Amino acid sequence: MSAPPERLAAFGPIDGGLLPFTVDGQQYALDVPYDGRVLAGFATAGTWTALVPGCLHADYEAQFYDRLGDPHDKLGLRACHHIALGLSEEIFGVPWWAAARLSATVLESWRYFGAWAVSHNFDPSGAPAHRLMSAALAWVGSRVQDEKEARRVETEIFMPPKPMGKRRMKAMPGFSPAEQDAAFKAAMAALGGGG
Amino acid sequence: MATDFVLDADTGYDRNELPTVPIRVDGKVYTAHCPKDSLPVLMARLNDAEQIKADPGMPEHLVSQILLSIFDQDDADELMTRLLDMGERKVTLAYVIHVVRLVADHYETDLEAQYAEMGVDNPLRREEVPANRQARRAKKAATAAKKTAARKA
Repeated sequence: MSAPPERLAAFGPIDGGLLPFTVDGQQYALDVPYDGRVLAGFATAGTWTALVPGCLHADYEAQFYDRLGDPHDKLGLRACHHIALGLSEEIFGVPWWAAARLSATVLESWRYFGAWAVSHNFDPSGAPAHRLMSAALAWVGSRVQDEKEARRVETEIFMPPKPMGKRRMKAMPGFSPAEQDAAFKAAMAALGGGG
Repeated sequence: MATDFVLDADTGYDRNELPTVPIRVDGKVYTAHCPKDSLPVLMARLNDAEQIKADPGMPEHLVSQILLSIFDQDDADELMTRLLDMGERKVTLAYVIHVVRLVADHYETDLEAQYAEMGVDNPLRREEVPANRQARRAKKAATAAKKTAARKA
């Protein structure tokens, strides 16, 4: 096996590529997709197994899967869950549950998010996951009316689930297509357009 | 810098934590353990045509690991030998998967609790056949009717 991988970007989350981690001192690495929409898809569906072990770097796959298959090894799916959640902030820039909620909200209201992104010169196509999450946070932030609502929305995004939900993360209230549609119409009416 | 994860020895899989279950395979009784939570990953890889094409020896290794995930080494080796025996009629790959699913069904409650902690549905749970569902509902209704009748009497 080659030398232990080094993470090149030392500041902030990674854009994609090699993400090294160790399990009880044993070296492993993920090969993180550069297209953040792929990762946001994992988060929306709650499939952390697509990250760990799904995104393991080819050099470490065989050994990691061997350990998963060994009934006497403590490395199982519970450990994979722990690792996926532990690496989430290095990939999404936010905790796993926040990435799941933001991704679900954006996916449900893509029309509005997409329009907002274009008007802010942000291209979600091929953007790294952490940039998508930052854009989603900015878009959500742009829709709130006052500080009280901003605090409520932030809590809804970042509050850790107790216990981890079995279901897919729901989009946040206030950001459904119908609500976004109404807000859009109101904004158009205020501008005197919208026929 | 790499993030370091430390596996908690107290919360990891321990095959001796739950009581074993006897299972009859072609007339012989074997002792089965509750499978490790990563068993669905092994079963999914058994269907990964791309990986199998890259490593033709992988299916045999995976089946061996699947057997080891529920049986002790000697029993797993014996069943693997029978599986690889071309003259063997009973122990086929489909039969092994069937046996694994039967064992998983036995430990369904424990496995569901384990997977729920990880925020996922039990991947080993079988889809209920509509006919079975109807039979189960009919049985439940009959039991409820019997209880009501007994209370009225």
